[in-house]
Amino acid sequence: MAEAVATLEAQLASLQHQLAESKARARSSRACPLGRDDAAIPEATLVAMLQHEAQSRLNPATQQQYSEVEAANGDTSWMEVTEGLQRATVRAFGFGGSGDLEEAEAVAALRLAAPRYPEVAFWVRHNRARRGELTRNARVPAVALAPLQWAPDSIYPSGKDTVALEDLVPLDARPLAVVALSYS
Amino acid sequence: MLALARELGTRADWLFVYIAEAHAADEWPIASSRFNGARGAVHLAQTRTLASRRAAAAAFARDFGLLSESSSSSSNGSGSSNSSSTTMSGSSSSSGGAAVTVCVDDPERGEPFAEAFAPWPVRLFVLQKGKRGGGPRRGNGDGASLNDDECAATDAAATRAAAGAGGAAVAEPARVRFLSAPRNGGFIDLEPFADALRCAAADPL
Repeated sequence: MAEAVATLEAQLASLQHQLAESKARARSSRACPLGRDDAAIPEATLVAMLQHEAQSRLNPATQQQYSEVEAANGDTSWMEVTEGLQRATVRAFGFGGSGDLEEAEAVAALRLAAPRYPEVAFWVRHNRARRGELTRNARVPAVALAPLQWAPDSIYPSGKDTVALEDLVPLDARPLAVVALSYS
Repeated sequence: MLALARELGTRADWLFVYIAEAHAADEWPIASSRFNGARGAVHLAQTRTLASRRAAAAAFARDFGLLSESSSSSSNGSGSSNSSSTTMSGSSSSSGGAAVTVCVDDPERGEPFAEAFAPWPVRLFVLQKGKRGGGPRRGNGDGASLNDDECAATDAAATRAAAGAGGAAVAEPARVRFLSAPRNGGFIDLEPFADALRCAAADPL
C-alpha cells in the first residue's frame, strides 16, 4: 500500500513538473520581446520611428514607387511598398539585426504605435474606413444629397439644392443601386 | 458596373454619390493610377467645398461615362479638376434605359452620406421600397451586419410569405436591401452586389 502511494506521488510530481514546463513554454511562445507590453522599444523611439515613416511615405521616391507599382495593375500594390518602407524604418533604428523575427516584431510594434499618435501618423488621421452602423433591412437614413446641376426636364424643383436620398428610390419597387465613389 | 446597368436596363435605377477623396494629395497621397484608366496617377487635393466636389464629380462622371450628356469640363482627375469650371447639362441620364443620377456628398453639410453609410473602403448598396407590408423581414437584431453579403432574394421570399399570410398591402419605406462587406485593402468584389441587385430587380417586393 505504501509503495503504491509512493508511486502515485512520484507520478503526480512528474505530472506537475511537466505542467510547469508546458506553461513556461507557452509563456515563452507568447512573449514579444519588442512588443509594447515589454516596453522593449521606448515610446520616444516609437514616435521617432513614426516620424521617420511619415517622411518616408511622403518622399517623392516613395510616391514614385507607389505610382509605378499601382500602374502595373498587378497583385502587388502600394501596400507592399509601405511594408517595405516600414521594414526599412525599423532597420534604420537598429532593429532587425538579429533576424527576420526581430524585424517583424519591430514593424508590428511600429504599426501598433501609429493609432496612438495620429498627429504624426497621417495615414491613421486621414483613414476614412470605419465599420458603420447601417444594417441590412434598416430604413434608408434621411440623407440630403447635392445633385449636379439639374437637367431642365428634371422632376425635381429647379433651384432646389438638395434631394432626399429616399426620394431617389423608385416608388414602383424597382431597386436603386447606390455606388459611392471618388477618384482616389 | 455599366455593363450591369445595361444588363438590367429599366429594372433598376442607379445613383452615384461622389464622396471625399480617400487618398487626397494633401492628406494621404499614394499616387495610384490603378483605377484611373490611361489618365495616370491621381493627384487631387481634398474637396472641401460643394463647388470643388461638384467639379470633381462632374469630371469623374465624364471620364468614366456615367452620364450621357456632354460636359465642358477640361479636368482629368490628375490634378486640375479642383479648379475647373465643369458644367454638366444634367445630373440625370440613362444607361441602357436605366435612370442614372449623380450626386455629391456635401462637405459643407458635414458629408451626411458618409456619416450614415460609412461608404469606404468599398461599399455598394441596394435600396428598395416595398409594395407590400410585412415589416422587417430579417436583420434588426438577428445578426445581419455589414458582413452579410447574402442575396436579398431570401427576403423577398419571406415577404411574399408574409403577404400571403395576410400582410397589409401598404407601401413600405425604402430599406437597405443589400450592403457590401467592408474590405481591408481588398479590391472591389462586384458579384455579391450584382447578385443582390439582380434578385431585387427580378423580384420587386
